[in-house]
This record gives sequence, C-alpha cells and structure tokens, in this order.
Amino acid sequence: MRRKQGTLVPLELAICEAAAGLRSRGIDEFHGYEIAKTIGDAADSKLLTAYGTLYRALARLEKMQLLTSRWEDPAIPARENRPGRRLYTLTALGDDALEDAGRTLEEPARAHRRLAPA
Amino acid sequence: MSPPLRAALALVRGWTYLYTAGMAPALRDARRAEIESDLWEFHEDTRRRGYPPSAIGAHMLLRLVLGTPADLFWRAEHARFPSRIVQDALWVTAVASVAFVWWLASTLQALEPPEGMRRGGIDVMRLVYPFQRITNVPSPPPTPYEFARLTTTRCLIVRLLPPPPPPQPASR
Repeated sequence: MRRKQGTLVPLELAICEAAAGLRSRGIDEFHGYEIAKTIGDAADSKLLTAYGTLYRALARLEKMQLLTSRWEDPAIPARENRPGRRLYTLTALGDDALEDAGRTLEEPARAHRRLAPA
Repeated sequence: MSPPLRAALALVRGWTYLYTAGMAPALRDARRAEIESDLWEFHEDTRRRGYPPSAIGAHMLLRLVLGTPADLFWRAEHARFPSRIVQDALWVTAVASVAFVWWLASTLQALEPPEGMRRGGIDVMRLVYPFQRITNVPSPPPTPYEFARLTTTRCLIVRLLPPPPPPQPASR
C-alpha cells in the first residue's frame, strides 16, 4: 500500500514529536539513539526502534526536508573518545507538518464529540 | 566486555557492513558511522543504568533483526545494480524478511523487568518459540509450515466456496 503524498507514517510523526519535545527542553539537535530513547520513553516501550527502521525513517524525513542533519565537529568525539554523532534538527517545515498532523488527528475527535449525544 | 555482548556487536557491525557494501562511499560511510555511534551510545547508556551485558547484547540483536527489512528496502532504494534480476531479488528478499520478522515478533515474549527498572525504557525479550512453548496463552503461534498451510487453505476456501446464504428470519 502506498502512502498519500505529504502524509507521515506513525514513526515519522513520533520522530517529529520527540524532536519538538526535546527542543522544548532546550535540546535543539539530537542524534539517532537520543531520538530512539525519547520515543521509547514516551511510548513506554520495552524495545527501542530497530536500527534499520529508525535510520531509514530519519533519512526519509531529511529527504522530505522536515529534518536537517550535520556531523558534529570531529574534535569533540576525539576528545571524548567516542564515535562522532550525526546531529538532526527539526526544520520549520517539520514544525508545520507536525501541526498539520495534529489538526488531522484532532478533526475526527472533534467531529465525534459534536455528534455524540450529550 | 562479555562474549554475548561482543558477539552482538560483531553481528550488528557485520550486517551493517554487508548491506552497505558496494554503495556510494558517502552514503555507505554515513550509515556505518551512524550505526557505530548508536551502538556506542546505547552501550554506554545501558551500562551506566546497570543493565547486564547479556541483556544489552540481546536488545542490540533484536534491534538488528527487527530492522533488517528496513535495511534491505533502504538498500534497494539506493541500489545501482546493472541487472534488473539482482534488483528484483533484493526486493523479494526484503519482502521475505518482513514476513520473517513478523513471524519472529509474534513469537517474542517480554520478560518481567526487575523491580526498580520498570521505567528504564529497555527490557530483555526472549524468543519463546521454537525453543520453548508459550504456556500462559491459550494458542501458541503456528509454525511456519502450519501458518502457510492455514493461509493457503483459507485462501482456497474464500476462492472456491460460494458466499454463505443470507440469514433466514427466525420462524415462530
């Protein structure tokens, strides 16, 4: 089944929501594991998103320009003796997509409330 | 580092190396570096929180196995194969791996986390079937053979049998 143009699958939506949540806590840039952990905590999930699923979704979001990414300065991981991180940021387009998705989810609920007997 | 954890790390790295082999260098190196970073962060985070190495390794393996269809689809999306047959074979493998992972996911059973680790975000899951039958659910998941047989039979029944008659009004 092909998805509708411009719509987000649940994982992509979860990534955008988690990115917005991190930003509200003052974390503008995040790496793959950080977002997997944030999504896992929010969903109270026992298992973190699989490597392939997560990084394919991140790549898709970047292609859709909802996220941008950059590799951190190599001096930092060298100093901290760890591999370099690819840091992602939610773009303005990502914010809009998140808002649109929120409205789409809200509309049926509102209609249901309107139709439901008091 | 314990042998199970070392083996899990080697498997994740080996698989990543395999499915990115022969790709454009920028794409290949970026994916490998990203997975390497994830492995390191995950290992450090879970180690700090006191998870045993075997649990960390098991979780890594599950994340690897459950993500293999996406890895193959990603690879197929970025494939530059000269032969159409090779590309088709990759898509077929990806679809087959989705079926395998679906079956695997249906056989997983979460272990109860130890007290004090209930909100930790990770837990150990284990393969219950085929190594051990699930005893606390009424019907265990079918074996691949049973699943294929049942599915085929259901498809045949749907195709061959006429639709059921409409319900008769209740007689007095």
